[in-house]
Amino acid sequence: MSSEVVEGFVYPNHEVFWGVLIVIYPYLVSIITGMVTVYAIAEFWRKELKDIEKLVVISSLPFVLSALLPLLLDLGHPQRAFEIYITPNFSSVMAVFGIVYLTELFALLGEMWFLFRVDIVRRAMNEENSVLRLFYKILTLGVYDTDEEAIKVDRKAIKILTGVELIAAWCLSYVSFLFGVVKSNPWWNTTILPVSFVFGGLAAGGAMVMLLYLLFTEFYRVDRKPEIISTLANYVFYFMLAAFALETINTILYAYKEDVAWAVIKLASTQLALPLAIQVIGSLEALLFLKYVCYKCNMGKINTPFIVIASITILVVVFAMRWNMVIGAQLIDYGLRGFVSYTPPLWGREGLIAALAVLMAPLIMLPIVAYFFPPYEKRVRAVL
Amino acid sequence: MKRREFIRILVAGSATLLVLKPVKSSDIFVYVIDSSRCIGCGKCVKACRAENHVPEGKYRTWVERYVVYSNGELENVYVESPMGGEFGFEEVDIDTERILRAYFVPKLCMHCDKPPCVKVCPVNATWITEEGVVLVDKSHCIGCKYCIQACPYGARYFNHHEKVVDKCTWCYHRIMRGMRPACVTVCPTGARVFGKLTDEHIQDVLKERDIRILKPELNTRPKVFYKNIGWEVW
Repeated sequence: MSSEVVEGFVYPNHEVFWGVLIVIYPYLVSIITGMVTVYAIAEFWRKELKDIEKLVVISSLPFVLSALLPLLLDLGHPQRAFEIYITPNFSSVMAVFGIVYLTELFALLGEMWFLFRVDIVRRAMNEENSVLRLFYKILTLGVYDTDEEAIKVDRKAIKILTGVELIAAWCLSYVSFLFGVVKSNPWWNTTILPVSFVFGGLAAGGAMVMLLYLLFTEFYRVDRKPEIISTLANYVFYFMLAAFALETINTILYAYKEDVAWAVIKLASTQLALPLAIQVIGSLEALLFLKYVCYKCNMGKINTPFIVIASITILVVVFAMRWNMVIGAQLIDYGLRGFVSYTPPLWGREGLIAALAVLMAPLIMLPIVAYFFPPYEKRVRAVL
Repeated sequence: MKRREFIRILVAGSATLLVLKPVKSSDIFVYVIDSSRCIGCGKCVKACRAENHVPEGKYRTWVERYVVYSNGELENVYVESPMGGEFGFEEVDIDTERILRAYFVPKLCMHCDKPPCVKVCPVNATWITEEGVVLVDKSHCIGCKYCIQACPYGARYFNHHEKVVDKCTWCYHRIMRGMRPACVTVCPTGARVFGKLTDEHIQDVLKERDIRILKPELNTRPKVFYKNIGWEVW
């Protein structure tokens, strides 16, 4: 990565140590939090979202699996990453996140197993392909009981695991805490940051679920339900509104207090003109579109292009927010007398191509997971 | 084994462990820098690089120049450290009549008593020794760079060749043999003073009122003390 002094004096060792990969890490974690929260809402509160339960669970898995990729690529010695579990330092937020991540992964896998158990048993008995039949037989873990009593137990287990997963996902989303505890960095060291981060994540996860719902219903030829879109869009609207409001309040507070760091933050922000513009304009645009989508859905109509635009905008806005948080803060030198610029390289382990590959990884994994665990029965349209 | 017996053994065992636990030595090392003696020659930076094989462009220690000047209004501060001050300093382009004060300030790892870098390391690859020196185990460091982010003094750097974090050790390999750090040894003016907290020459300096630490508000409790520096140094 390349960072050069733009203005003022910076400590000689200063550079942007965490590049675009560390922007992607909290971004993926944000999406996971949002998706898991949508699942919990469906499980505990909004019965109209029951239809998307399986879709959300199978979509969460590729994101959870991919969340580690950017971290591993960023490490100087990725082969030593497992040391976090062998010699953990419990006073380090990063070590604690390692444990939370495993909790999240296992809770999700457990939840998926219980949710798809009946399907797994059915396919273990009826699958024509012998390799697939063996695969599903292994997945049954020897449990073939699918009577009503067993399904009731499954539902109970799903509820407990959803609770565990929700707590773990929210803790994961507190990844911003990892930045927030760095007291030497004025951009990170704020109380509002972790909260605004969580809300941004909830909005991004919700937007991703909306997009995937459109994609999966198209692929499986399932009828779309306006009440699902309406409920999702409504939640995403309020999450986005909260994230945007908190980010704005944070900036206003900083500007008003005008402490020693503000002068350099103000100047360094010029390096972030584009992502800042995306953050502000995109947030407002997405909020407007989401309200329009809700209004249309309440009248029983689904405005697909608007849903797509709003969802993609939110995903881009939240990415811009993460960029500003991770990169923006590192531009400023701890001497508070200057700042550097940051241009990610195209190639290499920390380059743009690698970053793009990491971003795409969950979307590449998703069809594979969906093949083994289809969220809907595929309908065949009669050709007349 | 009866319950009572078990509890007795447990208490006795815990007490023994507590007694055996090494207590923190009062003979910790400290470092004092007298800014008024520093001439900005850069010999300390060169010696450090040679002694510790510090890669080009990275610094375990460096020298900053502070020039405080005024045009009749409140003070302006100009700070520079070209190539870490390794090759000295050029003449500054500020009218000498406007300069209120100018001086050099050597910087290095503060070997804090409450080091934020140690707190954030996820794998315990960096720690504080009994002598109060903060070290990095390069064979254990995973290269996450979290400690670099946590250090408020910019004292840590990423060694791109070894892919690990590195920093000043106060020349641990030397001081444990009774020698002084390389930077202290080569300083021609005695601006850098090193010793144990209980040493007389250190105690004499610490008794003075104008002694300062950097960024005290962060509560890191540095063990590098400064003499004769202005408010503008942090």
